[in-house]
This record gives sequence, structure tokens and C-alpha cells, in this order.
Amino acid sequence: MNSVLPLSMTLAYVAIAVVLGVRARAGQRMDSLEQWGVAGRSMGPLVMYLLMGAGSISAYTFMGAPGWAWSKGVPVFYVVIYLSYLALIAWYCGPRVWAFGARLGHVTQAQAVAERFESPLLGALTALVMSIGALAYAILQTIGAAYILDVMSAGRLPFDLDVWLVLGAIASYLFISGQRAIGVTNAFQGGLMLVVAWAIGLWATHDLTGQWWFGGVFERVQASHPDFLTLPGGLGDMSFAFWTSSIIVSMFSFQQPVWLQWMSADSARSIRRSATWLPTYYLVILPMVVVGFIGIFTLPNLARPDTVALQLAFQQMPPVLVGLLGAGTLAAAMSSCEPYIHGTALTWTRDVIRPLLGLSEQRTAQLARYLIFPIMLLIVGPLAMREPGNLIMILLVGLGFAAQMLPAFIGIFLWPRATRSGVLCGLAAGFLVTTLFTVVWPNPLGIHAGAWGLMIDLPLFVAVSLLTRPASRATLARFLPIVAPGRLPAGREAGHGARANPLAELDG
Amino acid sequence: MHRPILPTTARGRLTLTLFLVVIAGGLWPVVLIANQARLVLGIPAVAAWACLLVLASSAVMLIGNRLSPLPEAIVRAHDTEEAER
Repeated sequence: MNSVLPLSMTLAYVAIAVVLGVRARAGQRMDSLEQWGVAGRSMGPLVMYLLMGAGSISAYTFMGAPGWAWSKGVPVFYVVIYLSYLALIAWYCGPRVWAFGARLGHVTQAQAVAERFESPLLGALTALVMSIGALAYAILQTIGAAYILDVMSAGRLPFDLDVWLVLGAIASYLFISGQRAIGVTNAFQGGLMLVVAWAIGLWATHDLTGQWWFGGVFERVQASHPDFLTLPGGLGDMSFAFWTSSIIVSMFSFQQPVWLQWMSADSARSIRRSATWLPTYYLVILPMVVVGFIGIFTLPNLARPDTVALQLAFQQMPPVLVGLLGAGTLAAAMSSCEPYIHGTALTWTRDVIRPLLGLSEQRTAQLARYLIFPIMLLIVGPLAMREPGNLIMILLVGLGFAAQMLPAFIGIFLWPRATRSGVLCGLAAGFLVTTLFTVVWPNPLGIHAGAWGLMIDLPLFVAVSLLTRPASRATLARFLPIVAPGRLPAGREAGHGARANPLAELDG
Repeated sequence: MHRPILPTTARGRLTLTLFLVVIAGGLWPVVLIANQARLVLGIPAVAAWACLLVLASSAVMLIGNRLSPLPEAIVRAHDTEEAER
């Protein structure tokens, strides 16, 4: 295809995203964590719906998911299921996290961990280790975005230039408008992805079968590749154990950007409204998966499964649809990359540098804004240009680690008896097991390495918590009115005497 | 003060039960129900099951909004912000 239309449309998308992101500032001063970090807690339910939806939909939806459908078949649908379950988690935890921000002044996830477990060290540790997976994720999305520009320009734009073009666009609006830019651009990207995915899926289906629904495609798959319609799939590697453990591990990975999304809502009710309808957004994956199934017949000899949608588009679709796919895929990559860079800058500054240097709130906010540049220039950009082969491994270990933080969140939301020592012991053991079962002996018995980690992590967490000293009554009195309203007797809530004696008598 | 935080009302317990039923629907062994090489409404049974779980997730949250409305302590958390700070 020689048309310049696809590249023009893809670059036009970048320009629109930059303009929207820069204008999202709307005259607000960005010199506080409240504004740059969580958009002044201003986002309504519709923006929250698109923000949470687009933030979860990465380049995987437009490249990886069709690739999985092409190579494995229906195992790809585990993604739709775990994303829907993440919405259930958001429904319960989101309003409580928002209340931590509104009532206790929290901004970051690590801040809540540090305060609940009375340990700035644990907070800093949370910030640092959660950022391993976050940065790996941001790098992968940057590679995906640069790859799209590379393909759309037919190689005329060098890959390294593509990397810096993408990061430069993100940096411009992230620095100027912070979380407000993420909200506005994700809303735009979220809407764009919905339109693009269904347009591409329905067009490809109609092109193959003459019908506007997917039945004809799957009748052909049923006749020629029936193993693609059931677990363990075409490659035989998605056992029920791996399917189940993958869903469980994925739904309990509390990522930092998700926490910031909840913090950015204008009310607790907005989070509930958006979470309630959020699963419907994930149906965006269905048409792209169908494109992957179509590739089984039209592109049977692909070298890289994750290029199936792009190859199909270039070979069979009109330039305008190719451009739409380029823009949609780039939107998916950027909408997932930018929150992870923003969240990492924010938590490193708020939870690591600020306690170390004793910075003021305003200095912390200024530093967080500027920190996105070294993160991009020294980490994300150079690593994206090198396309390291072990990045997926770093990502898997990072996400496995994120799941091992589950005890900290159980301690925050469900179990006041949980202690700092319990969390640390569980975390260390869980991380060790997850790392071993990812790197040395991958997924024994077909069970996800992160699930093995949790099997060690959770019992240890409970046992050590029961043997060690819980958080002070004063600290629990700050959290319990939010996570368990009515649990404390009148007059024992924070602000009514509880803080007067922070080492008050402890319950057993 | 240290007891696990669980629903204390019948409505809260019903909401939790509905959530657990939907989650169980996507996991082994329940997902075996859908693991057949046949089509439902033109898409694979596993895909149809995933779509059903998407709708069921939204449905139980809609029901949860009615059964377990947000406590005032959360809805009005910002009212006490200054006192906390």
C-alpha cells in the first residue's frame, strides 16, 4: 500500500491527542499534587468510564489479542473475564480509595500503605517495587506505539524517531496538564478505540463472509479448527489451571495508575456508576479477536502472530480503515503508557524522595512534574529503542510482584489485624516464589507463578500478623470509618480524640 | 476493632454472594459448562460465556447499587477532610 492516508491519519490522531491533552489544563495551576496528581478530584462518571476502560485496554487489544486468537483461539477470552472482575474490585474498593483521598488527603497508593501500616519504609518499598512492572509496561506500550508509526510510515520514519515522537507527545501534555490530560486523552482514546475495533471487526467479517455478524467466521473455524473453540486452545497451553489462576492473579493486581484513577473521581458515587458499566467497555476486544480468527484463513503463515490485524488491514482493507487501525492501536498504546509514567513519577516523588529529603507539598509537586523527563529520557526511551528480549520477563515478574502486594490491600480494606511484619514476610516469600516460578521453573503444574506466590504469601501473612503487634488504635481509627463505617463506637473516630493517644491500648 | 470486615446486613451478604457467584462463573470448574466446540448466537460457547459474564458483572453491580448503597461516611468523606488535616 503506497497511500499516505494511513500515516496522515495516525499522525493526525497524535496531534489531536496533544491539543486535547494540553488544553485539559483549563487554566488550573499545576503546582500541587492534588491538581497534577489527581486532577483536583474532578472527573465525572462518563470520563471515569472511558478513563478506566481505555487505561486497561493496551496495544494488546489490537495486536496481542488478535494474535492469541490466531495462534490459540478462545483462550484469549480470559482477558475479557478478568477485566470484568477488575470492575467488581473497582466497585468495592474504588469509593473507599476515593474517601482516603477526600478525608485523609492521600494521593498515592504507597501513601495509604505507609499510613495504614505505620511504615514510611513499607510505603517507599511499595512505590519502588510496583514501579518495576509499571515501567516495563510503559516500555512495552512505547515499543508498540513506535512499531505502529514504523509500519504506517512503511519504515520512512526511523524506529528511534518514532519512540521519541510518541514520548515527546505524551511528555508535552503530561507535564502541562498531569492527570487532567490523562483523563481527557483517555476519554478521546477510549471512544476512538471502540469505534475502530468494531469498524475493523465488522468490515473484515463482511469482507470474508458477506455477513455483518461473526457467525460465518466461526462456522468455518468450527469446521476446520474445532480445537480453537475450546480450552486448552490451538496450542494446548491454556489449561483450566492456568486459565483460573491467571484470572485470579490478574484481578487482584492493584496497579498504581488504577488507584490514581479512583482518586481522580469527583465523588464516590461517580466511581460506582462508572464501575457498574465498565465491563461493557471490554466487549471492544470481541471484534479484534474475530479479526485474529479471520487471519487463520487469510494469513495462515504469519511469522509474528501479533501482526495479524495489521497485515490483514494492509492486504485487504481500504486506506481509511488502515489509518483508523493505526490511530486506534496507537491510542491503545499511548492510553496505557502515559498513566504508568505519570504514576511512577508521582509515587517516586511523593513516597520515596519526599520522605528522604523532607520536601514541602509544593516542591514535591514541582519535582514530580519534572521527573517524567528523566524517566522518559533515561529509562523508557532508551530501553524501548533497544527492544530488550527479556522485557516480557521483567514485566511478568513485575506483575507477579504486584499480585504479592495483595496482603497489604487485604490489610487496608478487609482485615484490621494485619500487620506490617505480616505484609513484609508474605511479600518477600511470595516475590521469591513468583520469581523462581517465572524464571527458573515456569508455572509448575500449569498454575500461574503469581498464584504459587500467593499460596505462600497469604498463609505467611496471616500467621505472622497474628504473632506480631497490630497498628495503633489511632491509625485504625482513621481507616475504619471509611472501610467499615459503624465499626468504631461514637467518639473513637479520628479527629475525636483517637489521635490524642496514638499508642492507645491495642486490641488482641 | 480487629475483626475481619464482612457484610453485617442481609442485603450486604446477598450482594457479596452475587459477586462470588459471578466470579466463580469464570473459573474452573464452572467454566467447563461453556467449554464445548459449538456456537451460541454465532460465536464460540466460551466467547458467549465470557460475554454473559460481562453482562452479569454489570448486573450484579446494578443490584449491589440498590441493595448496598454507599455509606454516608464514604459519600461525605470530603466534609470531614479539614478536621482530619
